[in-house]
Amino acid sequence: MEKELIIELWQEKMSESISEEREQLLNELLAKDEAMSKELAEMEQTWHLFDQIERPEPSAQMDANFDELLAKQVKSSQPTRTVFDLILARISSSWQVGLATLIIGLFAGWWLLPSQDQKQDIKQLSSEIQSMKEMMMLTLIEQPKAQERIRAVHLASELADADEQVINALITTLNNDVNVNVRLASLESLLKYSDRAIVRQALIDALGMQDSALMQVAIADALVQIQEKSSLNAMEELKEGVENDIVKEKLEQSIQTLKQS
Amino acid sequence: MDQLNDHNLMLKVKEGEVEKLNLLYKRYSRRFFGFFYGMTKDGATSEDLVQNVFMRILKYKHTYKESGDFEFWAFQMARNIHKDHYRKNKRYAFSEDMNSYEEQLGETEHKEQEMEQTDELNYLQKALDSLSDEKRELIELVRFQKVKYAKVAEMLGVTESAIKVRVHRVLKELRESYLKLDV
Repeated sequence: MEKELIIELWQEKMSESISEEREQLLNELLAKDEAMSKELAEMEQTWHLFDQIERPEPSAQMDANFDELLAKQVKSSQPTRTVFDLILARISSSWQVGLATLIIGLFAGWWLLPSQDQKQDIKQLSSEIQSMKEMMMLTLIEQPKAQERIRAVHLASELADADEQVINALITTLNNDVNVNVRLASLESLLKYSDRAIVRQALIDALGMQDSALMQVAIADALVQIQEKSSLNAMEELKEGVENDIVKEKLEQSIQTLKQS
Repeated sequence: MDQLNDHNLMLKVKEGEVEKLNLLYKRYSRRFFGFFYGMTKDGATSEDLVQNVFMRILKYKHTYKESGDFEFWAFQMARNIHKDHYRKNKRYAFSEDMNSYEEQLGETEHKEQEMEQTDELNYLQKALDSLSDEKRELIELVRFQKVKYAKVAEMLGVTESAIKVRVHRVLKELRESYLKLDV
């Protein structure tokens, strides 16, 4: 029975679902059972070896097929043309009737202006859409394909108002993504939120963190664009350290522009 | 954010907001692909089976319960789809299928990866491939797709403790088997 308990506890430990108390119990039991302790140490090695097994990624076609499937489904779940639609089509073929319908429509529209409840619904709906976009962005930004990550970054710039999590994801991407195009795209998206102090500071910090000349120039441009004078020190520092003449020249220009503004 | 958890999204899909399935696809398609690839060793087939899972989710969305658990429900579906596929095709030609798909992925890239793989890893992969379908499915769900023991236990109709012991036995078998290959 004790052996089974040890196995159970060990499995919980391996799947990272063990509580502190149960882990302590496991350690106590293993201290008393040398053979089992040895066996599990070996098994642990095997367990971790699984992480190194590489699996291929699905092709882009799989996603395209799903998009097609969903589009068809969405279309078919929409209501089909009713008799009312047909009458409407007939009415709209004559301009006089059309005009009269428009006037009636305007009156009706005025009478039927969205009530407070409807406004509330619309507000809730747009907040849901906003959350969905945010979630989608945060999911996509972790994808292995650069193309997907660029999509995520563009999605972030479409948000009406990004929350802290999204901003942080963009900043992390700007500083750490392996692909220059993704980093450039995240810089572009971050510029949209340049009125926030956290973004301005992140851009200044990013200047010293980039190795790519392209990124250094792009960030310097961005800082000039948002007139961030507190970035002068960071620019001077980078200018001293950088070896690339074009970057050096660009930084000098940016420093002068900022000083004059 | 709670409205965006898997369960609530699936309830919305059930109510007719099928476009919400998109987010569930983003969250689960790679896991399902991994599961099917682990079972079939064929990328193209795995992609088809992932598509089948989502088609079935749409077809049977009305059966999803208020008290349901999306991960459990969808993986159960994936298991059934794999079983149907296996029944129709009887056996897989592992090596051939795997090679053709990996060639599509980029031959040079793959060869480099292969060179880097240790012998131990290759033996483990071979040992994994030689497991019975039931045992491989268990490892696939628990270890690779990280489905919780309680859910796997419910899928297989046994207790959680029994699943843990079973996984342990399979791991032991795998270890012994790949160490033998290593000799």
